[in-house]
Amino acid sequence: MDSRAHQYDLRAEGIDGMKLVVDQPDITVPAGAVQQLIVRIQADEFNMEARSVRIRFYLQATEANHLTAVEEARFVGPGKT
Amino acid sequence: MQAHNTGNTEHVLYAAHKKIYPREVSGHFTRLRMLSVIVLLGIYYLTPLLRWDERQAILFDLPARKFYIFGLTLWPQDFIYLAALLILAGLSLFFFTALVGRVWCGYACPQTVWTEAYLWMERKIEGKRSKRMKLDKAPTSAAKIRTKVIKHTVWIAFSLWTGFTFVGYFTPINELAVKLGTASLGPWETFWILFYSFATYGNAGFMREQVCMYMCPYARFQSAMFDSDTLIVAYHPERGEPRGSRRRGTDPATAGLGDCIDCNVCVQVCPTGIDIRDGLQYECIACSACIDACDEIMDKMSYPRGLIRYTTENAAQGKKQHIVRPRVIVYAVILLVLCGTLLTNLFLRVPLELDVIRDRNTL
Repeated sequence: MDSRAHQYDLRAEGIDGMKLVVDQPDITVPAGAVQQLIVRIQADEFNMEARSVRIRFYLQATEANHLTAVEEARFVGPGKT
Repeated sequence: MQAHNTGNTEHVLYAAHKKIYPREVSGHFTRLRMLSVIVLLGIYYLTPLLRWDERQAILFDLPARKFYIFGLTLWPQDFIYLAALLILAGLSLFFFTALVGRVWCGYACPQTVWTEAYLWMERKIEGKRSKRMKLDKAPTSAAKIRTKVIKHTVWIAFSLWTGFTFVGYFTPINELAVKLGTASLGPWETFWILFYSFATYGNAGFMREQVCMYMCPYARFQSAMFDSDTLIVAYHPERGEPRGSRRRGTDPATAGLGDCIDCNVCVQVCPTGIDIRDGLQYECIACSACIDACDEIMDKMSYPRGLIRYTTENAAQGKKQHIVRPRVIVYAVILLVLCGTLLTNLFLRVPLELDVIRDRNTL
């Protein structure tokens, strides 16, 4: 375990063809810090199976394999009810 | 304080404190206890000096909320591990008590360890038991004052070192030494160094056995963890009684006596001042000083050793001993499972968290 800053990649999965838009592409978090990040998900209505779809965010450090986190979220859209 | 009178016997709620002067003792268990004292004190005083990657190996940095334990860095959100550690400590106490009795009290408890260290200093400065008793009874004199001043100066110096080391677990000890040298210690550092020093000086120098007898809850609830197969320090009355003094070389059988020569050495060496011949008592911290003392007397009398010895209630009554028994197995299994879970969790822990909070306006 180290106590230095790491750079991370963020990706999301759950809807075919969905796009993750990150305002600040370089995610570097110092050790022991909390960072807030605004991201948007764009998806085609056609690919949404329901109005509310379960999606997952994956955070992975670029140069440290073990530093990985997954968080579930919901994407709410105008899809099928 | 007088509670009530029954006939000629006066029962008092609080016994007046009688200073105990434990007599010096040597032997197998005393060597073992001394070894334990030296190792544990060594760990306490040397740990803050260990280094790990440009920093102190074990440091609980409260202002930064970071807790370093060698390669591990724990954060406040990892406090669950501290809870697990405390549960483990509690369970270990159950396990070891069921198995080997109050081995913790006699060999590893900080109260015992520091009391032994302070007693050692006292013996070096004031002399052996009889000399110490004589000194305390003697009228005030220049020599008495000098001896007492030396003893308390050494005690206070050792206490201050203890307090300094304690704070060295929370403030890097190198910085603390510099701050101390330049008289720029912060108010909290000063308070804790003095408070911890005072507690050490008071508990190890003065309170001693009273901490075990009146303050420690463990002494009181140990009976709940004891059973007939728990290791205890016990005197064997069937061999020792009737006790009585005799000339060396007297055959006890013809004199109508047991093996106990009633020399009282077992009482004199006891750090809590009890007579082990009265049976198992909550004051007994199982330090086994009386075993070593009695063995030495038995050797001098050419009697077999072990009039006072480690035994179990069952063994003492000639019944079968069970070392492995249900309660030991249950404690051991819970302990192993918890230990395994804690270690696996600790080493597989990913120090990264991700939270997704959806924007409220999307609905």
